[in-house]
Amino acid sequence: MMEPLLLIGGAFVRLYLMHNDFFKNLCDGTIFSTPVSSWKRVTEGSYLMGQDISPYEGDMVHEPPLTLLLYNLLLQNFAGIVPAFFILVDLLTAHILKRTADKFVQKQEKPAVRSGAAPPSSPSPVPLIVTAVYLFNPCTAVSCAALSTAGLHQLPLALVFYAAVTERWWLCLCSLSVSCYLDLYPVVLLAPLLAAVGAAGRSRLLAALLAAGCWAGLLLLSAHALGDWSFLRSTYGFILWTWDLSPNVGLFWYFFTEMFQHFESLFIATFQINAFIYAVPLTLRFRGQPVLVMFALLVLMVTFKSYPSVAEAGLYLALLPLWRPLAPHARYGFVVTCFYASVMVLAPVMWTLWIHAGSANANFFFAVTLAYNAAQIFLVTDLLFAQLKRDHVLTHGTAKEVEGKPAKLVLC
Amino acid sequence: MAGGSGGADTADDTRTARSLAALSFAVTVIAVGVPVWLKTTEIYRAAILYGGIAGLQELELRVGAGARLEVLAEDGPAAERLAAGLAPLLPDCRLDGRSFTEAERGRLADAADPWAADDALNSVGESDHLRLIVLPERLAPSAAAPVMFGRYADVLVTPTVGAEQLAALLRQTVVGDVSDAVATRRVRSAPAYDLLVSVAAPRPLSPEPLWDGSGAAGRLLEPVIERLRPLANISVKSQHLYHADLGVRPGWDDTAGEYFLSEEQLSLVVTPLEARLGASVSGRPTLQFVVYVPAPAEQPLHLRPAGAADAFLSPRWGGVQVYNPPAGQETVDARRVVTVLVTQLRLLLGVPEPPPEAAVRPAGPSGLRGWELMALRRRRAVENVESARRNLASLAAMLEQISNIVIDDSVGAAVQDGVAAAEEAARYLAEGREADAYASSCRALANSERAIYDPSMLALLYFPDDQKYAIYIPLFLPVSIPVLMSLRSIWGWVRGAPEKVKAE
Repeated sequence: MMEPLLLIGGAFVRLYLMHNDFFKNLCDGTIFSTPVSSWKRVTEGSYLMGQDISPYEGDMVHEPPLTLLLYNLLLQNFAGIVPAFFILVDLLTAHILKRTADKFVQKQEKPAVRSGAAPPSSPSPVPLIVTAVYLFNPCTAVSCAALSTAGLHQLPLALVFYAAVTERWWLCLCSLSVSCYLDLYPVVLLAPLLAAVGAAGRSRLLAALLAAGCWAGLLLLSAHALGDWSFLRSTYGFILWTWDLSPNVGLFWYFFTEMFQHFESLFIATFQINAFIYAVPLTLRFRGQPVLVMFALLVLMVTFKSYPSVAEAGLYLALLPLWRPLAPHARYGFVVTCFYASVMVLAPVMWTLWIHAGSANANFFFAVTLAYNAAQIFLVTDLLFAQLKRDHVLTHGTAKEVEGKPAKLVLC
Repeated sequence: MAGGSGGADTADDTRTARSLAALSFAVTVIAVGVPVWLKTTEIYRAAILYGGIAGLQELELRVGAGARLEVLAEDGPAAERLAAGLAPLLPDCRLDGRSFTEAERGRLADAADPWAADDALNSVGESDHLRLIVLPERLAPSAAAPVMFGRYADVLVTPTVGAEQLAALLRQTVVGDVSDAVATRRVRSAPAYDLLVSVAAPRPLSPEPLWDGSGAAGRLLEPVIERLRPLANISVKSQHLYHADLGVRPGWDDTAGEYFLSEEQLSLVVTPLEARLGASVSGRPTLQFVVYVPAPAEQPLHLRPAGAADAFLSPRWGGVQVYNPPAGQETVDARRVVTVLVTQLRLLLGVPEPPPEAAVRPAGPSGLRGWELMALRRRRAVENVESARRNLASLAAMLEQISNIVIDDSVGAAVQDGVAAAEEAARYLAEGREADAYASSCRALANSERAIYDPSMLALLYFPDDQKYAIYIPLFLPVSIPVLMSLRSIWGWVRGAPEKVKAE
């Protein structure tokens, strides 16, 4: 009952933002439209395709071919409903997240019900909170108003979580390969997924092969649709080599504007290794909780990728209420909340001051970006520590000693 | 997880999990990170031919090396005698003698005096090597000196000329090294020049231009430029500077009724003039020639001490001449101005001047004699090769000493080409192929300058080593310390030692 109301409310918020001048100015900034997700570049690519020029020839278009073709189709035939399309995609993602939350909460409460506790009197509010957070989050709402294609990239990621929670492995691996095709970084989610597949008793090798095969199939389809493989350099090459240093909420641009030419390749390699290196260790450490590892890797992926946009933060913020039981064990809840709140306010302010008013400079904006990323890191580490503490409490009680000796909780 | 079995099992599980996680971090850092670091921070240094450059320094370069001198006489034995007499005095040159051919004899028969003989022998074409013509007995009495330098590539000598005198004269002019006086006066060797004629008139009488670049003056200069083309490409430009003063006040001589500039004043004239001549951006050195037309109030203006013309030369820069227009004339007398200009140009190019005991034929409309051109080409080839090997030697010394200069492939290629061209030039010179030697030497100089002045070498030059630590440490130290510290606990887990729990 509440869900359709929330969906309608979310749609109205987005419609309002799309037609409001103040937010239109805000949307132009690269906080919401990175070179990888900007709608202006998509329209440019569509125009080039109409002129029979390869859209990947210059440095403008970095959208994968299949989605570019989809947008091209929309723009040619149904230009008026493009905003409605983005709103629909957001609503669909919110619905999928609600179903994920439903199933996850059910799984969480099952052990308590089995051990004889009374079933909860009212259904848990968590799924509705999840939907509400996704729909009314300023990050996702303004990104949708800006027609940022990052909103579309959240849909397969939400499907991955849904399928992982409901144990529909085929759907999970296919949507993971779609997500990897769109954006290179979700490949880190393969590690916990394979662990979950193994825990469910299915063959891990087969799962890996399925994911790889789907991804290869999508690439072949793109090459066939475009006629050649030139899109690889503009999409994956661009994500990995990051030669566009326009400011965004990530960490890459500021560092590389100051870099000596000679060391550029070393540091690009370092930053990209950093984005991928956490997959295997975290999976090994938290063997029993693949969904938690997927969530942690999602946050880390958004922090360390080369061109993040705040729409991606919207997804994991929406999934955060799923770990409500961990809240009593979290230490930095207040700090992280304050971080996020201040960053939400300061980021557009510093951006306007720097770009439009000309009275600030890049350092102001980068300081806010650093605070944003620090908040994300705090969130992840706090969550993981909270999980460890909960495990310890469940096995040893709240005593701070293990077998009579004082103990310390370590992550690694 | 809730309801787990015995605490020891889960503790072991956690320990295994932790150690495996730390191990995967360490493995990635060491197996992937370190090779990437080593590969991406190497300084690319293309191979440089240090041996070739060292070999260049050993080359002996002499202007006369391999020059071919042919002695022509009425009869063969006389020519061979003279050639044999000269051979020990000019050891670098290749001397041979022959008698006149029938055609040459026929042409010589009509000649009335030595200069006519000079014309007759070159009527079908100029020779490409230096010839010593022994005059027939008939023409010997009308010779002005024992050794006469003709207009083309011939040196006319009387039959009774002494070999030492002849060899000395040849060494001074054609086959000898450059004297110091000439070396300090001539402009540096380049394959192209800009020749800028500036007419400076403080009070122009009429708006008509004084110098007609496309008219009479241009037509007079054209043969000279053409004649110099095998040596260098000269492009002539001209400009008029109105209201440009000399900056010094001439003295007035009552007895002679003229204004004059003394020698000390001359040295103050060039710098203010140069400021007004204008800077042009081109890769070619500019030869400046200024024609100063004094204001009517200061006419006539002459230079003291009086010379053949009112003109003086500034070494390596150009020349200034003073032109006093005859009353009523509107444009300058092109012939007079161009004559002085060509004389100054010859001095600037370093054309060898024979001493007064030899007779020299007037050069004619082209302004340059054949043997002078040959001598210039040889001298410039040697100068180019010497500059090239100096450049390459300093480049090699610099690259060996400073280890963090990036050496591009283009620099390596330029060094290779330069060394090859320099060796080629020396070889051609020794074989007597002057034109090829000059071309190779120009190429050698161009390559050596391109190598030593390449801007890509500066990329890491002012990058001191300690800045590397400023770059590495902030990023890698916080990452590597936990990894390195966890290696110890991994080692403990692998060995199977019981876990030490740290006291809080």
